[in-house]
Amino acid sequence: MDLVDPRAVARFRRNRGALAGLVIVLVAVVLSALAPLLAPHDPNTPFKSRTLTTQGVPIGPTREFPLGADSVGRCELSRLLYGGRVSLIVAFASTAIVVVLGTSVGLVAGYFGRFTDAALMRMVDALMTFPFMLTVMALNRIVRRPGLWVVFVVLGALSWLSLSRQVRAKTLQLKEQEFVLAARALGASSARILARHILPNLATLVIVIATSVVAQMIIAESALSMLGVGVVPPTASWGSMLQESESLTRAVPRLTLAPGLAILLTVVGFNLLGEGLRDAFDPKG
Amino acid sequence: MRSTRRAEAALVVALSLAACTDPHTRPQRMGAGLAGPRRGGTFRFAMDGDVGTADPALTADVTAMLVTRMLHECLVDYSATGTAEVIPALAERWEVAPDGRTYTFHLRPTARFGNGREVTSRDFVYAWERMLNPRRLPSPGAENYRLIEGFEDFREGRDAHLRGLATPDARTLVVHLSAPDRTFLHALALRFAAVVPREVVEAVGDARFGTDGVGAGPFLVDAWEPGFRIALRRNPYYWNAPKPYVDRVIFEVSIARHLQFMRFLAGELELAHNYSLSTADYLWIRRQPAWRPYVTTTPVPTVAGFMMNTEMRPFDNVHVRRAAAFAIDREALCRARNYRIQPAWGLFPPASPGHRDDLPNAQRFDLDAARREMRAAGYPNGYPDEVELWIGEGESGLVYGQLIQADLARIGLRMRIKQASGSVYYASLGRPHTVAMGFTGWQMDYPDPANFIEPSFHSRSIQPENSANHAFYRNAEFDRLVDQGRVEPDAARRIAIYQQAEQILLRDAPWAFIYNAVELTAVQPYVKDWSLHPVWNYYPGDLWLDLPTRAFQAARRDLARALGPLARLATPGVAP
Repeated sequence: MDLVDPRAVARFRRNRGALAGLVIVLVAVVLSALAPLLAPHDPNTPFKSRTLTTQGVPIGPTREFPLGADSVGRCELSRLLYGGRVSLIVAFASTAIVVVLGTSVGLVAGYFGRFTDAALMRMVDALMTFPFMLTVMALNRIVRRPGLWVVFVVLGALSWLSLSRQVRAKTLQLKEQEFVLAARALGASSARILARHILPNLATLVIVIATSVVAQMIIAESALSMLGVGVVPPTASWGSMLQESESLTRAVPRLTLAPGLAILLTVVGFNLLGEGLRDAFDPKG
Repeated sequence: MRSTRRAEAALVVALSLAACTDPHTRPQRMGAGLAGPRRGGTFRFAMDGDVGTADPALTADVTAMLVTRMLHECLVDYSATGTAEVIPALAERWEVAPDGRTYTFHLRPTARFGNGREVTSRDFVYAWERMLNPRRLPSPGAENYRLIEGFEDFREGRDAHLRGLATPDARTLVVHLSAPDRTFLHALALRFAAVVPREVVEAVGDARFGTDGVGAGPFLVDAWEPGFRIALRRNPYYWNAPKPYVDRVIFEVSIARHLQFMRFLAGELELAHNYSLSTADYLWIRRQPAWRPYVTTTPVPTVAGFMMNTEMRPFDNVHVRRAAAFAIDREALCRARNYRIQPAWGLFPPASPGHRDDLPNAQRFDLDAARREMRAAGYPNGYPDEVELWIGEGESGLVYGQLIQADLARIGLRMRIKQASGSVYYASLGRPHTVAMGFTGWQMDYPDPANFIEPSFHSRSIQPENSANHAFYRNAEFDRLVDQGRVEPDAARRIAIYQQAEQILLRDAPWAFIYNAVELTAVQPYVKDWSLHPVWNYYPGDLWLDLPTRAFQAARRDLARALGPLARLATPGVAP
């Protein structure tokens, strides 16, 4: 079975917003992936009197430091590139967790129904009552060794709930379709039906949702790091860069604008891409 | 049509630009130019924290101590200038017996409480016994008075009264000490030893005395609104008339830093202090020529540093501690903090007794020395494991933490930054085997070396919980010197003893001393005789406000009204 409908590709290519989203996402991914090659300096080295004026104010853009220095005297451009890396790694990794958990729970609940469905969905209901930000902050505070992995595991573990609901709904629809009934009549096992007949039909739905989850995760990571409970210093992420620029914002707005614009553009990019994919795969809405 | 739209667009742009620029590049109101101190006006300032009580027996944090100072009076006080010498307050004079163990205080005839009643020596006995009775109030200041004779017997309930106190008459108080104590007069100026009126304490009760009580201080509580503001008015019976000069003090609490500064610029607060100013605001006000005369920077007797836990690896090795102390580039730290701090190389801050500019064996930045010490420690290629570096939440902690992390990485000490919120942070610092290295500091309560040294480094200050000795540092020779310093009668020899003790600290390096604080304050132009008090910080009891009197303002209004038509005539192009 062909996963990608050629008509969908054509629709996607006609959608200018979707193409713009794709370009933004590709640029962000490439810049982050190549950060070690592109960054002019180590992102965590303070250059002290070379980058801070005698008043202690970070210097503006120079040839050596193309975006100037941050409040501790580190290279702003290098931190922006490495920070994008961290932000995207966290976003992709937590989205992967979301996709795996959300799809499998939704699939199992929708296909087997009855007690399994009730049990899994009540668990989802219970998890949904947790205030997202507070829970993430609390979990991140109580682990003994906070680090990048804690951020994405926690974000992923708390964000798959709505995906599982949508996958379940779609599975409920699919399992009543003739091809599933036919497969069952031919004696196919549940595992085979799930893997070969239902899952491929869920792919577009999951891809579309996952794209917008990436955008949400970028924002969530930035918010956490901005509140000081995300990545561990001196690791740069766009959120931690926002946090560290806060008290200097009025004096050196550049330090807040750079990571702020990076977050804005990347999130817009992923959302445009997600919407474009949805329109392409599912023109009826 | 098109040009109108363009004009509209230009107007919008101009207005948004105007909204972005700061309108208050100069003060809202200047002084009236009156001569000499005079009474009147309201002094308003704000803090982001709150004050729960101003009971003199209970207040130990800096902000609450300021409020308590405004409300309560002691036998003696700290002078507002210099290194805060002990000066007479409710006691007009005193004698110390040659053996240094008996103090006789003579109260002023003008000493009155805010309710008008005369202060007697028996009020002091009542107040001190109230403060020192652990079954009544858990006073954090009790240990300051442990050398008063009978202290232990009274604390443990064996005596009903403190044996060392006597009141031969209503204006004379005699205090007997079990050993001479060079810090005793200093301790008597702490508000723990303030006098309280028995009848008021008994009328409102111990729990409410802090907010509803009356003291003998320069101000009385007018309205105490928790979480909002504390309004004070002048005590008409204050002994040191004509002080205080201001009629009212409004102390607003729980006001965010940025808001404090905006309200100061709008002329709604008389004082902006260090904790009102973000880095951007700090840089901004220092660039404003119109504000320059009203901005002062004062070094304050605070020393901050990073403690290294002498019981935890790798800092149980003195060479590693010394290496860390040498490896920290203090100048770079101060630069990154916009020189709101000054580098410290030793224990005693400038403007405190004991400080030496030419301190021998100072902890200066010296990478070669640091690497030598790492070799001596047995780690020529660095320490193999990661070590936790604790900092509090907030911007400045992050700056220090990340810079020190980068500095220590250069000598092979890999630090992992651990951030903790205020209460968790301080609880962890005071617990054994918990914090390997962490930010700590000490602001002096009274200007005496003993006050700096004993809580932070004496082995007596090591406790299983809430240990004030955060490095869990023990050195018998050091303890002996410090105990000797407390009782040494000769002032110069005392300082020499403490400086000798400081040398031991530099050798053993339980702390890397990092900086001394510098406090920046800005006041409105009409605030006169303002200075940062060395102990009571923003105490407004000595300043006066150069504001026009009501009569003067009415006269000016009348004049303006009379001159109005003339002014219009004199302005061409304006029809009357």
